[in-house]
Amino acid sequence: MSFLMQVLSTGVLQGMIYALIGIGLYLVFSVMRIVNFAHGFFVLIGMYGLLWAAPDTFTGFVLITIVVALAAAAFGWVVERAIIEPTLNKPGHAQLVITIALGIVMQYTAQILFPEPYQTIQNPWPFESFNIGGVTISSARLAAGVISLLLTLGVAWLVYKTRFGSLMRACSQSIDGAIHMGINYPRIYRSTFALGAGLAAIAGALLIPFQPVSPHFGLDLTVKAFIVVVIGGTASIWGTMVAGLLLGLAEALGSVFLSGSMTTAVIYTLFLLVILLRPQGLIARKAVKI
Amino acid sequence: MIASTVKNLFSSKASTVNTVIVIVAIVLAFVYPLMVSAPLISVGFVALLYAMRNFTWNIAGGFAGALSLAHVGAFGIGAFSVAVLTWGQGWNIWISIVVGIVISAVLGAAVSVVMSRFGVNAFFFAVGTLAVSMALAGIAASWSVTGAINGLQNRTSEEGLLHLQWFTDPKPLYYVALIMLVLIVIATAYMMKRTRLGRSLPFIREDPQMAASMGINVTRNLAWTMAISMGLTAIPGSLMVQYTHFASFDSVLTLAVGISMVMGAFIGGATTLAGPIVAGILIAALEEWLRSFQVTGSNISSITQIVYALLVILLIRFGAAGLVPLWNGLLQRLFREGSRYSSSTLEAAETEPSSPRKEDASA
Repeated sequence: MSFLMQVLSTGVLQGMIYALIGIGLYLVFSVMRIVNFAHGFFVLIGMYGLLWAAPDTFTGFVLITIVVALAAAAFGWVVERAIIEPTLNKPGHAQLVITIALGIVMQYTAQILFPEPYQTIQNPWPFESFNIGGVTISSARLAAGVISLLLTLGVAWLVYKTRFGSLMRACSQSIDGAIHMGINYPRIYRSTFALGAGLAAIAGALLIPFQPVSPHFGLDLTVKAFIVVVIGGTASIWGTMVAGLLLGLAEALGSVFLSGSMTTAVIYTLFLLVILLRPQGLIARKAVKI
Repeated sequence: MIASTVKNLFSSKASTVNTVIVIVAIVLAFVYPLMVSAPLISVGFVALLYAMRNFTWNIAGGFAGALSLAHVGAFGIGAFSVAVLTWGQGWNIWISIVVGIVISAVLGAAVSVVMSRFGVNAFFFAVGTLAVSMALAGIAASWSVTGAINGLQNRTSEEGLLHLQWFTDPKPLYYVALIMLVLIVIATAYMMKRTRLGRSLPFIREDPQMAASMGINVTRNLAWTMAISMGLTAIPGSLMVQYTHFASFDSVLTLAVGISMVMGAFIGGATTLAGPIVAGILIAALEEWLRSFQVTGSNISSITQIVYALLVILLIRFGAAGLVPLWNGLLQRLFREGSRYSSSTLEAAETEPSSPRKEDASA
């Protein structure tokens, strides 16, 4: 029983991080109608940023996380301005290919800068681990899960309760309508992209204490974020959150019964099945065009 | 028909230049192994494989606009069918190659039919096909038949065309790859020009809904195209492992393979026949050129990937459709020909209408 609780709690905590990563992709997808293949690589910015700075105190960890998140957001802003905005009106899959290319550039730059794979940092949190009723949770995991949850709720508040959020939702519902209302939509787009990149970098900073990083990890995370967004549907942020938790749980349970690579195979197959059996949940919003 | 085709090849100055280039390139490709040393022949072989897999990806990805990452799976299936059946079970390699083609083609058709439930949406197509490849990679990594994480090693010892294996001389394998590439290109060019299926593909790419309303069976045509494209992608997979003598999930079933196919097609020009081939050969040459500097092996592939990706970003950012369309535009400007649509040997389908680039009003 306590073994099951252990697996479930690990899954839930991991799922909250997936939800946080998925939220960034979801925002960019729903506001800008862009599938950002480079999203997972923004997580890598957070992970490698912390790895490079290697903070040895808790204050240092917090400060560097903030700096790295701001840097990632600034990078996202520049990327949006420099290469995504000019392709918004292009036909076909221009944005898709351009974000794949961006991801490749980031992955191999990381490969050259940090050739040593699977590094991690020492636990920055001021406590080691908790033991509640036979369930042991490392402090890094617990902190990552809780902070992810808080940030996700914060983003939901931003989207549904603030003026900036209503501008984002306006762009999401009808970009033509938003333009006619005089909304400065390029600014909303840039801010949204920067927000997504910043959130991804924070997720990376939360992951690095217990998740060894390697450059190809970015693609894995991109795909997982896709799974979260597609399964969650495009209707609201809450769907993305639930999908993140589901993915975390599925992974944790799968790792108990199957080998690591088989778990991946099963998750992708399940993902395909969900796409097949509930396509209406996926393309609820018809406006998402090629 | 042949006479008119030949006449078309020389119908304008620009197409005459291109025809001459193509003929010279083919002749050069055939005499190349006779002029250089053995290591360079292997470089040429790898270049041909890059060109071949870019080209076969482009049949579905460029002509029909189906941004597929399931081709990674096809490449891996081609590789593993040789590894499992020929190296493990002792089947003749040509049978193994055909088995790989058939499995990949069936997978391609199935994936396409399944994905058409999304109404041919590029985003979901890319994500769904990516999931297919990742699932296959996960299976290959944990299944003992495919060598699990250790992969499979070629321990066969027969030589000759029947076994597609030569231990000392790299020339025969080079020629096999070259002849296969030429055959694939000729067959594809014929399909794109002369068959209803081929001629419907640019239409489907530009506007699937319009194509459907004009009576084109979009689902069926896409399924056929994906089957052809993925079936042919198994061939470079088979040849690659026959050259490296090693197949494992992280050498042939990685997304890097798929991304290099996508990027290669886009760099060369995804709407053209020649583009993916040009890009494949350029990339192999770039890798070889980088090798002449004092950089470590892993950094070479990293740098080529970065150059690759930056090229794609620049091309798309500045509104170019690829190297070959740029070249054709240059030729037309040189010879002052009015229409971009004059029949050119290199263009299988019309290039996209050159709409003026729309810049954002507020930019």
